[in-house]
Amino acid sequence: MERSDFIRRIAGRLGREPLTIAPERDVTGPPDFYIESPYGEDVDVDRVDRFVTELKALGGETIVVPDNAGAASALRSLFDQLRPSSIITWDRSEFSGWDQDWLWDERGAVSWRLSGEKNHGSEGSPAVVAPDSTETASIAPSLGDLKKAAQGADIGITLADYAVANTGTLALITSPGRARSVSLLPTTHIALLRESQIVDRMGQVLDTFNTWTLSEVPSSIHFISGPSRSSDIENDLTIGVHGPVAVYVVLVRGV
Amino acid sequence: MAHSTTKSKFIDRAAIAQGDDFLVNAVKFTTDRLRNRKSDSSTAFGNWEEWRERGRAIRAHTIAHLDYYLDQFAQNAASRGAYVHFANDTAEAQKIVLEIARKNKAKVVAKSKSMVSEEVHINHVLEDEGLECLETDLGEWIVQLAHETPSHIIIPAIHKTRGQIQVLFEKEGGEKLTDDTKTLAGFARRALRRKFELADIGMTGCNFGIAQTGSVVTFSNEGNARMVTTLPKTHIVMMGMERVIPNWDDLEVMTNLLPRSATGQKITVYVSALSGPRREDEIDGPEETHIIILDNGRSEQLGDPEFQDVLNCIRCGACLNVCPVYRQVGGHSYGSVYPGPIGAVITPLLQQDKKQWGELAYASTLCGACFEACPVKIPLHDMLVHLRRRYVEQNYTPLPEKLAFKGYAAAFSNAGAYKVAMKTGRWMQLKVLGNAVPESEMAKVTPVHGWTKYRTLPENGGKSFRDIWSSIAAEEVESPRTNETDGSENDFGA
Repeated sequence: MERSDFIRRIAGRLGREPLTIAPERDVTGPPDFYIESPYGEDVDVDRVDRFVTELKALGGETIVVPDNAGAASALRSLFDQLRPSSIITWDRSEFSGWDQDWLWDERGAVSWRLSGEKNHGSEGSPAVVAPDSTETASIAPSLGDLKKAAQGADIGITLADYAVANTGTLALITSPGRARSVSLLPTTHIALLRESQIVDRMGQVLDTFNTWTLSEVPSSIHFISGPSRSSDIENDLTIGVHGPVAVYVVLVRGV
Repeated sequence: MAHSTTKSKFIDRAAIAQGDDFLVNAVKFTTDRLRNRKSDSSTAFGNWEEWRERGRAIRAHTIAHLDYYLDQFAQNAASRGAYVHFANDTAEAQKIVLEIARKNKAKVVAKSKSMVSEEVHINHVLEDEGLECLETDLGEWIVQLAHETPSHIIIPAIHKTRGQIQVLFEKEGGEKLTDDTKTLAGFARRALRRKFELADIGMTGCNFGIAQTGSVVTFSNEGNARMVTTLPKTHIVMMGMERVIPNWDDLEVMTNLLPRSATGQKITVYVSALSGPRREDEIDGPEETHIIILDNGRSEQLGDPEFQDVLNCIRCGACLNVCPVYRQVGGHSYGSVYPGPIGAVITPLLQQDKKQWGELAYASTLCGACFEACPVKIPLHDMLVHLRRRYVEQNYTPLPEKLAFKGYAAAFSNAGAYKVAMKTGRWMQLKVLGNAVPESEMAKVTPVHGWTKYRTLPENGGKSFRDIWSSIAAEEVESPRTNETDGSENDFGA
């Protein structure tokens, strides 16, 4: 059926011609009381504490560190614990300001990016096969390679664009350097986060989307709250059905 | 359209369900759990009534201006590179999906949960075409392996035991498993990962379409909706035309209402907003996105003051968990994709065969618990009454019922006939049916057997109010009430 006929029929059922200008609204978005006090009236909350508590309740873990060096040690100790054979991550340039070059140089982290250098570590060969990035950008990478790589990745490292304190949620916005697979396919997802990126409620993240022009709208946005879960077998909670089994956030306080 | 799963009657399907002890207990356990979790989380959130009212206002405004918002959604989605299709009915929706599958030479379709895809029988159509069509939501996959249909909107496989699931999985994987949740879920993860890798097409539903940017928003806990929109080359979105909301700010309201109402969660693990296919220089995500917008009888509810609000539904399933009928009979009894009170309303509305499906409006006690549970305040109990009225007006009720109501009308419109009817009724209870005792043998052959089988009639004193009215009136004259002079109203302390 044609779009115009479809829309015209809807308008006809509503007893008029299709509207061409935006209708007036009495209310939009959440009620004022929530915007004014997102944690409830007279409740004062430390955003970092709240985020840590909420994520913990969902089975995720936050490691609070004072600076980039602290973030590096937190990652190293996670690696010691998890013993990953493969680490995938976003484009190296996305991590500027984070001082984590060792991830690529020492640990052979693989950046998932369509074009540009492969970012392989200098020593040891990563278990993950990076999609062939020498092809021209207009040709899609081999999906087969990509999917094979997906099976082997133990850890995916990302950067959160925002975090929401009152639900323990990370917000990740996809872009060429920030592939969506990295937060989804590996067994463990580790996100780096700065305190200044934490907001009280989801609406404060959504507000920032209002400034986008249509051409700036990203292909995907992911709000992630803890590890994958299901209660489909006799109402019994199980963690890690399709998405990551574990979610860690390395949070730098004070920046 | 036809999204029926059976031609039998509600009462027969309910009888089958009632005979399954595991099902009866599982439905009770699950609905109690979900209901209590919703109650706890909405109480903890606070101001729940204000949130419901805000949710209602946003949905009602959108539906009242659906032409504008749907058009805006479609145009913006197209501007982000999505192909937007409009399907008038089941046949059109099937045709569009098949064309996309053929064009892409697809062999495997991996689906995350989509009720609209079930409404238009996508799995059957694709399987008939020789494609493998795979449900990837854990519960939906279990149900698919068992060749059954979902029994609950949110937890599709509540009727399956872990033992049954173990058998299904062992057969599927050809390996020995145990029946603990971890092992079973681990098997599903491994088996479905291989399938995600093979799938040419990923299919999802759409929880909300953001008109402002043409974005499709999905809510999921397992991550399968993300899987099928990350790995396959083509993404097909199946959405009912009423799924849109105006903007991102409104999404915050829906995010606060939907997971709490469905499972008592503050938010689902994943909330993803997808706007068209992957951009040119991105490495993953679909290369092609198709959005199929389905009418299938929905537009007929627009402009109808009795039923337009049913399009406000956000498919949380809260009405199922509180419904005294659903809680007894489970989802399969409704014979349709949409069970519970919401199903009892929309199935008769969307189906062409009003006579067959109209009976679902009677699968209700009209207690109104569904309305109270609804996060967008749809007056489902009123709609059920409207549906029953239409059913009667269409002359679909059986002859004995028609005769009974004719007799009822005759008796109540004439004082003499009323008196006779009351006397007869009293006599029937005392002499035939049983007075304050379980039904008599004779009652079993009367037309009211359906009632007396389960209910004991209250004690009948043998005299009617009319019989004793004259003596009451005489007493009243002899002893007038005098308590207005005893000063009791002033006993509040000085």
